[in-house]
Amino acid sequence: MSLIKVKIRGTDNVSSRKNLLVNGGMLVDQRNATMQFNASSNYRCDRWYQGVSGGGTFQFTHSDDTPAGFGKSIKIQCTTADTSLDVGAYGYIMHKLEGNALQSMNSTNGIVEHTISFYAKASKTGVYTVNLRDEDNAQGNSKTFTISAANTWERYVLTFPAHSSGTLDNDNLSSYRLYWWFASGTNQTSGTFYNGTWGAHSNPNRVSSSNVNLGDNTSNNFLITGVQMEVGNSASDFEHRSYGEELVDCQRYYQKVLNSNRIDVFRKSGTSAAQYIPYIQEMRATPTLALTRNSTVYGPVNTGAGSSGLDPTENRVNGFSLYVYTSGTDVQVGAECTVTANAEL
Amino acid sequence: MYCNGERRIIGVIMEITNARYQKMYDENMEVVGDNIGIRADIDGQSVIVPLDTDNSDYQEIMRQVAEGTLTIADAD
Repeated sequence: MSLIKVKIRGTDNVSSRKNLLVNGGMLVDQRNATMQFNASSNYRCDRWYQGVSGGGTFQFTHSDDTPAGFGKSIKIQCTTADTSLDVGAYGYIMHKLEGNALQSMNSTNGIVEHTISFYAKASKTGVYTVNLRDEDNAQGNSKTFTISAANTWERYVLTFPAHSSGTLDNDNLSSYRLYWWFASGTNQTSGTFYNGTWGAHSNPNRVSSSNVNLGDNTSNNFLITGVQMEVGNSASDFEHRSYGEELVDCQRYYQKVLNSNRIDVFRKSGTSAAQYIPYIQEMRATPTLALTRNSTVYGPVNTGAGSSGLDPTENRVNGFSLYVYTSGTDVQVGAECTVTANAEL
Repeated sequence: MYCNGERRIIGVIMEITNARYQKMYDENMEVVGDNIGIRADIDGQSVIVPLDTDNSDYQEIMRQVAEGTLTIADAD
């Protein structure tokens, strides 16, 4: 009988989908929004959330400035400086993950060792913090990385140890967060920095007191791409996925349907008629909907009802019914509209 | 899992205004039946939020309602 050597758990025995993150290469940017703020939070690239408050103004762009082998990055540019951070000031980008995507990280009573790798480039050298938050078990951990050469793409690798404080839930809710802090007031720096050791989530322990303030000069910028989180204690090559693969994964959380296309209904009786609009991809949860109708309507649309004559209703994870209100019967009416569906964590 | 106060600690509070329940209309364009969603302006955008406890906007609306900083009007 021949023996088969089974490799230890880690990256060696993962042949595909080893990257637990979605859109780590920053390829997908469905919102394509101009983002510049000093007291707001939103998504730039899909799945990448930016939070800024009270520490300068930053512009977030989907950049073509990348290391070799990558197509896109997120660029954070300081546009209004603030050299003296308030205690509650902060700036970060963050990736949230739902528990059912992280079951490979679970051990019997906690989570296993895992490694985060990414490419970063900054005009401002110094210490930056990567902070993890295990929401299911109220645990936190952080490590720093140092950018020592300005304006140079480098790959950074941070391995985080296992913990035995409980497993990640197998559900569709937010279980795990990764933060890259580029500015922080003392609310996040005044405690005992985790520095690679898991501990109870505590806001003051999250960020290194040596963390840079990227917002102290309008010449400062920070770029990041090629972000990967994998089980094990070492980083393997970044798992490149196609744009189409990443798009499908992103559409679980956000998608646009109709895209200014026309929808027609025939009203026989009542005040409206509806058509079912399926989502491109089943969504994580029933999404929040935003509807924008183009100015032109076709036929006697009752534009005073609902959302300018239209209403998305019967909303579920697979689709919704779009009602068109009319002021006549036995009539066909139509409108052009776009609906965004948001089921972000 | 959503933790109470999280958005206030590491994120800006979502500005939610004009929250009003959504219902279907009857033949006279009068609202009828059970609530099916919440119309609201979130950070300046008009949206319809489902009554789904897994939806993060719904979670935030309910958090602000519980804190007494937001009320949801009846459907009209």
